[in-house]
Order: sequence, then C-alpha cells, then structure tokens
Amino acid sequence: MKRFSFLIVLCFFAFGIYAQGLQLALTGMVTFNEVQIKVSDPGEDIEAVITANSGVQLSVESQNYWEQNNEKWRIYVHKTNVEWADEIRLEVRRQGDGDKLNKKSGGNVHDGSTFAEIKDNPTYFFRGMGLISNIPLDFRINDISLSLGANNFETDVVFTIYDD
Amino acid sequence: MKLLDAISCLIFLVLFSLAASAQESISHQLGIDIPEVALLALQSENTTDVNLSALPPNTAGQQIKTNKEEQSGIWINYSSVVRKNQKRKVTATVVGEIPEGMVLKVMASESRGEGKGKLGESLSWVALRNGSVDVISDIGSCYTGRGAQNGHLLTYKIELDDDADQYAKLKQSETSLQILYTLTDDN
Repeated sequence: MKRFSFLIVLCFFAFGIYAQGLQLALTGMVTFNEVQIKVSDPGEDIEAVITANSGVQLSVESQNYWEQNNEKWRIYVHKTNVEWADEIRLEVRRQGDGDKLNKKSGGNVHDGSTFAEIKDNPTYFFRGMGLISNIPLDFRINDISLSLGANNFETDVVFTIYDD
Repeated sequence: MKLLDAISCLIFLVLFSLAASAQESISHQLGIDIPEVALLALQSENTTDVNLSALPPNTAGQQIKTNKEEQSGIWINYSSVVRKNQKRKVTATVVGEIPEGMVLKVMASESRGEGKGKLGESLSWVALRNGSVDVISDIGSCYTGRGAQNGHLLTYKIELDDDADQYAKLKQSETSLQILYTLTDDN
C-alpha cells in the first residue's frame, strides 16, 4: 500500500512540475509605418536601418510563484512569415532587464542586449533565472528599400522559453 | 514489489524528463507598411536658368538659326514608391507665353548615377506647351539618387514652327518662361 502511495505521489509531483512550467507573456505591438519609413529628400532611398521603439514587453511568468524563482531558462526567437520579402532583415534586442518579481532572489537576465537577426528557424536570444516581468524589446529592420514597392509586410515573431 | 519499484521509477523519470524539457511559445504580429511616395526635385550644379537664343542667318535669304541644343545642367531627381502594377510619369508645363512662331522642346536623358529600382524612361524630344506633356514615363518604385549627376539631365532647344504662317509672326523679343515639372500617377 505504501508503495502505491509513493507511486501516486511521484506521479502528481512530476505532473505538477510539468503543469507549473514557465510561461511567457507579451504586451504591446510593433508596426513600422510611414512615421518611421520615410524619404528625407527627393532622389533618396528610405533610410536602410529603421529602429522601432516598440513598447513590446516580454514577461517570464509561472502559475507557481514559489517554485519558479530559481528556475533557469533560455529564450529562443524565430519568425513565421505571412507576407515578407527576403531582402528585409528583422532584428531584435533586449533593451532592459525588466522587473524582478522577487526582489530578494532570482530575476537575472543575460545576453540579448545587442541586435540579432530573427530568422525563420529558432535562434538563441537571451537567458535568465526566475520570474521577470516587462523585459523591454526593440525591433529593427535592415536593408529596406523603395524598390520593394508600396506594400504591407507581416510576420509573426515567436518567442519560446525552454527550461534550462 | 521490485517490479512495481522499477515501474514507478520509470514513470517518474519519463515525466521528469518531460518537465525538464518543458517549453512554451508566444508570438505577436509585426507589420511593415511601406507607404506610397512621390517626391520630385530639380537639382543643378550652378543655376537653374537656361538661356536659349535664335541666331541671325549668315547669308541673306536664309531663316534664323534656332535648333542649337542647350544642356541645362538641371537634373530631375525623384523618389517613387508605387503599388503593384502602378506607374508614374513626369510631366512638364510651361508657365508663360511661348513666342509665336517658336517651338520650345525639352528632352530628359535616360537616368544616370546612383539610382535603383524601376527608373523612368525618357520620351526623347517633346514640344512644351501650356498644358502638361509627358517627359518621362514608366516610373515604378525607385530612386534616382540626389543632386546633380543623378537622375535625368534636361536639354532644351527652340525650333521655328514649320508652319509658314508662323514665321510671319516672329518678332524680336525677350521672353521669360517657367517650366513646371510634376511627378504624377500614369493612369
């Protein structure tokens, strides 16, 4: 009977860990439009590099606050194109460290503070430990040109968190 | 009992490994809206004034000489972004009265310099008038580059009107005209 109880407890514990994994939350959105994309003088091209102060913030959360404070994690990023041009290079960087949910422990972030290209396959973005909210992100587009024509390009930027 | 222990450990390990590799994704849309652009400027290394003169004949009985081409040193620069299948053109309009008996013509060169994209094509010599006439056509999404030596160089000339009655209307005069260039949709 004790053995059965042990088995049941183990199963609940393991399911519990899985169910209470780290989660990501995103706020804000980013659109590059005529405010950023403009031609300064007749005869010139669009500025080739445009940075959007996006207002997008990423949070690492958990339903179980106490158990995730010392959890290490890594975040990968990729894009899924809806309408895109190969010439356009999209980049992202972490513009700040965000807010630690537990001021006493955990809540560290590393890497990702310089612009890195978002590709179609997941690439490492940054890592950290514990629960952190409101990590600000900046997006930048490179190699954009008038020769692309008037068009609306769209992609889904996907962030994935892995337990480290 | 040992079998039960082994099974329980196995289940735990499998579930624990699942937990260890737990991942979650979240996404948001990112949009890039490239707006339509239509910007045009005239650039010159020196002045944008062009002087055209009719010269007297060398021999009595001949008509005055008028067909000397005058490279203006004026360059048309433009930046254009169009929607799919949309084209633009550059038109010219004379502001003022062209002297009677004379025809004022302009030719834009093919685009030169640092431009890229679907640059416009010259329509060769065109006679200017008070209404708009096409000078450059088939402009897509492109830019010519900025400043002199970029874009389309303008060359002007005056000719006598072939109509004999028009020659009778020639009078000695000095006339000042303005030529207005417009980048517009080519519908």
